[in-house]
Amino acid sequence: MLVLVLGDMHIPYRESSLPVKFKKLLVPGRIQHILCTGNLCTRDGFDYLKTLAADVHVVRGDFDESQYPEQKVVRVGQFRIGLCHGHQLVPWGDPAALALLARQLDADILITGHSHKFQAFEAEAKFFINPGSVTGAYSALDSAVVPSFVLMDIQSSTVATYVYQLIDDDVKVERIEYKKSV
Amino acid sequence: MVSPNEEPEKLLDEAMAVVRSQSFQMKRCLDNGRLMDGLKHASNMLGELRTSLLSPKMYYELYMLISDELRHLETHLLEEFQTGHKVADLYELVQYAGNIVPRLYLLITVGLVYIKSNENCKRNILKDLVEMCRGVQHPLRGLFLRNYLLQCTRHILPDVEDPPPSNNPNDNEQGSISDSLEFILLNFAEMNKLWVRMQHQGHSREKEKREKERQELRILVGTNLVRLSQLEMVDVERYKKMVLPGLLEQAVSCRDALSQEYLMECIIQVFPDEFHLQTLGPFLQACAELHEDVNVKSIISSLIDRLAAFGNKEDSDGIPSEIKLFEIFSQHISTVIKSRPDMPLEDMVSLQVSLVNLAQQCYSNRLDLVDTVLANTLHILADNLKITKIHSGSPLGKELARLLRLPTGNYNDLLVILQLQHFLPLLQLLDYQGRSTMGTFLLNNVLENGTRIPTPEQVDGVLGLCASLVRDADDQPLSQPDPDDLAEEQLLLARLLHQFEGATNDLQYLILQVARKHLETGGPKRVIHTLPTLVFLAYKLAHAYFNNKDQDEKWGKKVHKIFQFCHATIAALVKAEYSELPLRLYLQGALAADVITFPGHDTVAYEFMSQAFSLYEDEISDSKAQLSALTLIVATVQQTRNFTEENHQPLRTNCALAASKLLKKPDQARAVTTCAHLFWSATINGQELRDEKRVVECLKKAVRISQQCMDASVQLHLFVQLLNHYTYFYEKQTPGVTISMINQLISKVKEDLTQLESGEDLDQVTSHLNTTLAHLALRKEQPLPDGPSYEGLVL
Amino acid sequence: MGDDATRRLNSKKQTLDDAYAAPANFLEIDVINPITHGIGNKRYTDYEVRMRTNLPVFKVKESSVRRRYSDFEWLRNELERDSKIVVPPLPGKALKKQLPFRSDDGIYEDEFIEDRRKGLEVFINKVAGHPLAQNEKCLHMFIQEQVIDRNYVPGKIRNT
Repeated sequence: MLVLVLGDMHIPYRESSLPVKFKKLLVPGRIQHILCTGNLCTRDGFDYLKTLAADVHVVRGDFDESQYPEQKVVRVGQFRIGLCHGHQLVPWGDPAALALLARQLDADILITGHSHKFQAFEAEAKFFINPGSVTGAYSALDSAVVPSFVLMDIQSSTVATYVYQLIDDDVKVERIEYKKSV
Repeated sequence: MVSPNEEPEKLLDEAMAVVRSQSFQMKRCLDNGRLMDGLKHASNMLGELRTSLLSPKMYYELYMLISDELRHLETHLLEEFQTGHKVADLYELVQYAGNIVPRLYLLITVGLVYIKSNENCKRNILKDLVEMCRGVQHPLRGLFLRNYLLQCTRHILPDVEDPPPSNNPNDNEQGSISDSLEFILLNFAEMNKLWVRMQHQGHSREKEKREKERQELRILVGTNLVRLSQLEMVDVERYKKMVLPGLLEQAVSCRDALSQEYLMECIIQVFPDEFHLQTLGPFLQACAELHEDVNVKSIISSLIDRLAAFGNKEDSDGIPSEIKLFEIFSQHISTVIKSRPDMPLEDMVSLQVSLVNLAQQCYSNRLDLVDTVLANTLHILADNLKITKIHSGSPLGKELARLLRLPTGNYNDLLVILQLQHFLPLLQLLDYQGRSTMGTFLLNNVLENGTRIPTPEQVDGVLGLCASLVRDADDQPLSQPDPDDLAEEQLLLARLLHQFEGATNDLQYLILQVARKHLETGGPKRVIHTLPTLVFLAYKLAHAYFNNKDQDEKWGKKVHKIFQFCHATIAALVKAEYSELPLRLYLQGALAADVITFPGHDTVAYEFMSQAFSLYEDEISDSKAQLSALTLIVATVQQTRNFTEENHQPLRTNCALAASKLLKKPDQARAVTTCAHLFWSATINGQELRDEKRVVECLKKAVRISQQCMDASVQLHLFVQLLNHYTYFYEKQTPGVTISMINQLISKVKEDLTQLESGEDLDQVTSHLNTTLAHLALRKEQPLPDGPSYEGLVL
Repeated sequence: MGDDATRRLNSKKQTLDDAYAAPANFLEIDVINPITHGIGNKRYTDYEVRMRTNLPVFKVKESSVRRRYSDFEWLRNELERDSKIVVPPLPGKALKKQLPFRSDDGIYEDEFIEDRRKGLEVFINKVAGHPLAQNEKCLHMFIQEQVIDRNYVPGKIRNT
């Protein structure tokens, strides 16, 4: 089961479009679910995701209109996946604050965005992922944003996570595995 | 009264039956050596072609059957008269056949045999046959007869060089190329005459049907041209001196639109491009003399398109440099346009489209030629015809749009289009709809090709080209545009801004100023889509100056100016009565000014924060929007690093105050809890605040507010959340946050849980409590090395 | 031999203008717009006879008159009597259709009128296209005068 995780596009405010090399990778029909950390900013971005997969979940980023929920839980196979943009969690990106939300959502995996920086770590048997910004959008706090997104391949109790990063106009892929403790 | 033409099918069947029976008898007689009887039956068979009651289609069927049967006769005669001496007698003999139609078919058939058996009579016989066919002046019968002549002579027309001049008439008995040309050109002239004359047959109310029939027959006339093109000896010189003049003379003189249109098109298609290149003058001259109903535009366009493709072909040498192709066409087109005052305007523009195509294909480095065409078009439309507005849905509007799209799609570089002086004035002739569509097209072209716009002048030009997307126009529809359509269009414009890329930071700043000058005229409906992008581009530029501060000693002043620029830009959005987005833009500005430590940045960051606060207080009234705005403000203040205490103190105090003033109790509780984090981990001058007193105060206040919530399940949710925040601060070893506080909350929650009715809320709270307790249990069992002890924790 | 077989009289070469000129003997007569007038015994149908021509013998190049069947009969009788041409027949009189006590409208049925119209059109085109008939005064009166003067003096028209 392939789950595409991405967000913080910020089109058109901060970027014009997805990197061409990412667009070529993202073809319709291969992905079952899309989890978006928000900041699509326009209807156009949502429509684009809809062309890639039928099942699209979006939470509200700080630059989205309020049509999306602040947070939500999506069940994929054996996993409860919590989804939240993260600008609501103070301090931003603080692991303890993230853990707090993971407990509230009873999530096995917590996905957040906002920092525009890819991050993945395991804590207290939970898996935390930040897919970064798929467009490499401007961030006041980081002057060297690398465009990135994540593809999760979920097989029973295992998640293989592939991180796609655009470094010097080349797509680099890394694999991280997470197993759910029984 | 049964008129015979009511049943043409039956007539055809009868005629075919006669043909079959007569040809059967013809063959039997020939097989039995009875030549004269055979010829008689052949003549009877051919008599069926005398009819005038069949439609052209049916006549054709009959003709095909008969010409098949005549081939038997030809084969037989060829075998019989290998020697040749008796054929002359036969050639005379068949001239006594009673009726002219059978007589001439027989004459052609025998003549062919004659020539094949004796090459030396070729020249004479060919001349004789083509002349004799004049005997049939009925259009349909004459056309088919001459077609038969053309078919029979197809392989025997002399295709050799003319001999040197001589006084002996016997010198050239087998004929040469000039004889063939004379033969075909005469046959062509006669056929064209018959074909043109066909229109006068029958009642005038059936004209349309007749024109249709004539269209069906045109190929018969065209075959003459094909035959000419197949002659090896026809080279450019002969084509120029004999062939083309012969063809054009008939085409022009016949003054019949249908014939002219077909013949001109036929000439273009049948003869090679190398020939056309050498005869452009006479051909185009003839075009100007054609009947006013002829679609000259399509003829000229067709020629141009062919030559453009030819000039651009890989294996060709291109257009010879001595042929000024563009000038020739350009000049003749203007002659044609002048000579036809009634030519539809769209056809006139369509000719210009062909010219642009020619210029682009054959002279790709001559942008000036394209501009010349645009200038001429503009001159005709605006100066001569005084047209000021063109409806985009009209044929003229569509052609004009095609003219403008052509170079855009060819160069795929809007910077090149900007060099075309007459592009914009032409574009401005289109109505609002047309300009908007074109603007969208141009923007898409920039985005798809990734065209970077590097100077303020070019930015000005590009935004000028899509002016009808940038601001209101006098001629736009009175009704409000569909918001979705507007959003889509403005999205393009906003994306365009990312293509603005000055070579230096200073240039980029000028670009942003030019862009704002355009965009701020867009009115409230547009600015919300475009100005935010401009603000972010400015923030990016500020970072760029900062990253490059060692190379530019004035960077601080410049960055300061950029923040002023942003401040004013966001203020424009506020003036347009927006609040949520400007508030977020101010916060982003505060973060940027906090990071980019130019002289006075602290004041600027404070100003941006205070603007955000003002918007929060004055403009945001929806409670949900208030909570989310306030949370963002608190988070932003927490995130800053470089405020002085003097500036930070009022900010955090205001945050706490605003939190406690929220309307709804649960919102208050959550916001106050968030403020607890602000008092703990806010950073001032690089130092974390660690105001444990205020932290505990906030937490206790949050508990108190939660207790005031009437809804039991909401209250429980809040308690469990607070339990987690207590845990958070306990883990951070915040003085004043104790295990007993945690124990108290746990037992309170457990106790209240029993009161809650079963349902989704109970499940959620229970689950949240369980994950929290599991976390605490883990910590109690395995305390972190540098973490606190959980002694006394009651789970 | 061959030379003899192909020895021909020289014909004059046609000019291009002549070759493509419209024919000089254009004549077209339409019989159209049948209208039935009156009631009872006085009932009758007449037709518009419209002519267009470029023949010099006709002094008017376009004309339109209304004629009924009996007028055509009159013309036919005049020609039969005075000219040497074989005058083509008129469409039948349809006597059966004029019997009393019919269930339909008899000679006033649309279908009958249309058949007769076609027949009359064929007739008048044949007559008017005949070079000899073109000189008869009766034909000119029939085609071009609003009212037929049955007491006219028969004679020929001079082609000027």
